[in-house]
Amino acid sequence: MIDTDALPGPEWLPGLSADFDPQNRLDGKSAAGATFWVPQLTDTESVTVAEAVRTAALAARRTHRAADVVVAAARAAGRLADRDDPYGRAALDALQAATGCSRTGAAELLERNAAGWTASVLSALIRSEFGELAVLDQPRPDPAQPGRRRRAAGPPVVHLVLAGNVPGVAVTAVIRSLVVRSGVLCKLPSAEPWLVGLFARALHEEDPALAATMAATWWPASVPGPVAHEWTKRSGKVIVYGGPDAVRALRARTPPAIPLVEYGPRLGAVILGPDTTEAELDGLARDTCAYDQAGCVSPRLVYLLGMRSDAEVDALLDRLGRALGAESARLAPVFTTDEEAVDIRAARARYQFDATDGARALGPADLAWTLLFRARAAAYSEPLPRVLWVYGIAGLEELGRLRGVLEGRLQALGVAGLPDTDRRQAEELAVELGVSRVTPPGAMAWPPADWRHDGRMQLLPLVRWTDLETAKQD
Amino acid sequence: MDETCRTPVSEAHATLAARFEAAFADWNTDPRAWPDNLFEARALEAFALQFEANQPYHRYCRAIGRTPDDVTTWRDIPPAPTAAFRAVELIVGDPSDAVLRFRTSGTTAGAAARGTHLVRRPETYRAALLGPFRHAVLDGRRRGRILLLHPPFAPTRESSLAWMFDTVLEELGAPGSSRLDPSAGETDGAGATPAGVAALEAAAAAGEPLTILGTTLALADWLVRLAAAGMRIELSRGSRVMDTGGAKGREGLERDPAIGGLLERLGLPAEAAINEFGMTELLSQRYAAGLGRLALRGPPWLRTRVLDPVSLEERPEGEEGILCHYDLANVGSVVAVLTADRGRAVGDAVEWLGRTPGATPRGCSLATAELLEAQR
Repeated sequence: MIDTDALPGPEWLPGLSADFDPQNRLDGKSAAGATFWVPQLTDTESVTVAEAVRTAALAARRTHRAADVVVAAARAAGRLADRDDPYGRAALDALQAATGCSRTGAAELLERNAAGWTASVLSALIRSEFGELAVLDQPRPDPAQPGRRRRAAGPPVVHLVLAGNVPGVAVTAVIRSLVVRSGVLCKLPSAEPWLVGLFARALHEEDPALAATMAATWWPASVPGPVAHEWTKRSGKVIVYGGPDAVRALRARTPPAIPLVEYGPRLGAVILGPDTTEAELDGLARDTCAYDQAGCVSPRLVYLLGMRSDAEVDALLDRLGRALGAESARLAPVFTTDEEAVDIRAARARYQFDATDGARALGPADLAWTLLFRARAAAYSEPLPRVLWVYGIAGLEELGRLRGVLEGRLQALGVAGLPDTDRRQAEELAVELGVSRVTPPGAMAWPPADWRHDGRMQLLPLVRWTDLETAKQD
Repeated sequence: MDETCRTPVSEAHATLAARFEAAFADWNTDPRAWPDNLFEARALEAFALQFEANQPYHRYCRAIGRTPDDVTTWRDIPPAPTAAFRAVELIVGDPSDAVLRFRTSGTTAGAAARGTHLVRRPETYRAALLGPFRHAVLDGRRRGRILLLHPPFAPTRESSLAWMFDTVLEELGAPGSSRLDPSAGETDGAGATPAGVAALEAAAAAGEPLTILGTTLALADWLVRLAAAGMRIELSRGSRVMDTGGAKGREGLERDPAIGGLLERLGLPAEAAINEFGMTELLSQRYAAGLGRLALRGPPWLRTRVLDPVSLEERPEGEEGILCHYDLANVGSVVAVLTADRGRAVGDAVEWLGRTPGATPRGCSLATAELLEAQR
C-alpha cells in the first residue's frame, strides 16, 4: 500500500505568500480511490496566482531562450523517470497509488513518456513544426517573403484542463505549453493528480524562474468555483483533454474570444489479416495492456479479415489470449474498479449466453483480460480494461460500411498480416476515416512525440503568429 | 427443440416446480416447516434441470467449465448475470412454452436493452409471492383491504410488478379493496378531490386497516396531489404503505421524505412503511418495515450472497459488494442471478445500497455512449 500522505500535495501555486494558509480544502479521489486534497482558492488567491504566472512567463521570455526552456524542462521531467531520483521514486508511488497499476506498469509508463521529454526530442519536435527554435524567441526572416519577419509564441498564459488523459500525458502537455513560451494554469486530473506537481517541484530545483511560469491545482468538475472562472478568463487559450461533458462545461464558461483547443476521446482499432504473425499478436497484447487501454490510441476493436474457419478463429483467439495472459502477468494484475468488473462480466455474459454469429468469450475468472468475438462487422465496444472486441469480417468493404460510426472517432489503426492490396485499401480507409496513425500492432500505445494527435500538429495549435512587415522599397 | 424431447422437460419441470410450490405452501402455513437442508437440496435439483434443459444457460455453464458433477453446494451454482436476461431468453425447455413474459424496465441500460424473464408456471410465482406478502405486509392475515396505485397487467407492457400487484389484489384483497390507476387521472370524477381519497375515507370510516401498494414514484406523486389538496386522513391502526422500485433515476426523489410524508398525512407511524425489493429476473421478493436503512428479509427459498465484484468471493457480513440471488421460485429459468446491485449482508437480511453505475471511461478512451450515438 502506497502512503500518499508521504507525497507532496498535487498543487503548485506560485505567487502566494510563504505563510499561505488555506481556509478550506477540496478533497478528491483518484481513479483507484487514493485520496488527496488541495487548498480551496478564493477569488483573490486565484487572481494572485494567475497574475504571478503571467508576470513570470513574460519575464522568462526576456531571460530564457526556447532552447533554455527545452533543456530545463527536459532535465526536470527526466528526473520523474529516474528511479534513483527522489522525484522518480515519488512519481512511481504517485502513479501506483493513483491508477492502481503495478510498479512495473508505472515504471514503464514513466519511461515511455520520458522518451518524449528529452531535450533532443523536444527540439526536434519544435524544428519539425516551426523549422527552428529561435522563431519562438524573436522575429525571424521569412524566406518566402523578403523583408518580412515572423515570430511565433503561445499566449502569455494558457489554461490547460486535464479532464481525461493517459497518466504522464499531463506532464507532456505542460511541457509543450512551456516551450512555446506560455505560462500554464493547469487543472489537474483527479484520476492521477500528482505527476504535474512533482514535475513543477523538479523544475523549481532546475530553474526556479521557469517553475514560476506554471501553476496547477484541482477542483471537482461539478463545482468549478472561482479558480476555474479566474483562470479561464485570464488565459489566451484554453486547452482541454477530455470528453464531451468536460468540453461542454468549458465552452460554457469560456468567453467566446478565447480559443479552445480540444483533444477529445477516441479509440484504436486493429485489422488482422491472414498472415498475421505471432509476434504481431504479442505486440497487440502489449498495446492492449499498456496503461490498461486508457488511451485514445489503445486498441479496442479488432477485425479479423478474411473468411476463417471456426478452428482458425479459435486458434487465433487462443494465441492472442495467451499473449494477453503473458503480458498481464508481466505487468501484474489489472486494476479493475467494481463498476468495470460488473461491466466486464455483463459483456462476457452476453457472448457466453448468446451464440449468435459464432459468439465466444475468452478470459480468466480474475478478469485479467477478455476477448469477445462475433463473426460480423460491428463497431460496438466498451472502454473496459484489457478487453478487446473482436469481429470477423469478410472484406474491408464491411469496415467501410461502418464509416458512419468510425469516422472521426478512430485515433489509431493497427494493421498486420494483410496482402499489399488490402494494406493499401486499409490505408486509404484510414485516411477517409480521419485516423491519425496507422501502425503495426506493438507500436500503437506509444506514439512518437511528433505524431499528429487528433490529426493536428502538436505545437502549432498552441501559438499565435506575429508578422513584422517593413515598407516596400520601390 | 422437437416434440420428443419437449415432453420430458415439461414433465421434469412441472414435477419439480410442483414440489417447490408445495414446500412454499408448507412454509406459508408454518414457517417452522422448512428444514435447514431443504434449500441446498432443492437448489441443486433445480440447477441440474436448468443445466440440462435451459440451452443458453447450458452453453454458459459449459463455457465456464461448470457441470452438475462439480457443483456440490448451492454456493457453487453458476449465477447468470442480469445482462444475460437482456441477451437471450432463459427458460427451461422451449421459449414457446412460456406462459408469462416479463420485461425489465430498462432503467439502467435503456429501453433498447430491456431484459426478458420467461415464466413457464405462473403457479410457482403465485406460490412464492402470496405467503411472504401475507407475513410481511398483512401481518399474517389471509386478506386485507387494499388500495393499489398501479395499472393492471397488460401483455403488451409485460410488467412483472403489475402481474404481482394484480395477483395480490385478486387473491389477498378483502371487500372494499380498489385500484387507482395513476395513468387514469389525478382526481375523482369531475371534482378537485385527488383520486384515491374516497378509498381512504371508506377504510377510515369502516375502521379497517388499509394497505396501500404502489411504486415509490407513484406514491410520491400521489403525496404531492394529497398535499396540494390539503388532505389529511387518519387511517386505522395496522394500515400499511408498501412501496417498491425506488427513485428509478428521477432526480431529487428520495424514499424517506416521499413515503414518510405520506405516512404523516395518513396518521401512520414510520413502522407502517414497508419496502418491497423485487426484480423482474426473480420471482421471490424481500421486504423490510420502516424508513432509513432497511434490512430486507425474504422467504427461506430466497438466499442472497454479497460478493466481491472482481473475484466473486463472498464478502464478510457488513462489507459492501454486489448481490447474487439464489431463488428457488426461478426453477423454470435460472435459480442463481448475479446483479449489478450493491448491498451488504445484515444477519440473515440484506441491505440494498443502490445500483452499480456503469464504468467511467479511463483516460481519453471513447465512451460507449458516444459510439452508440453515432450509430443512431
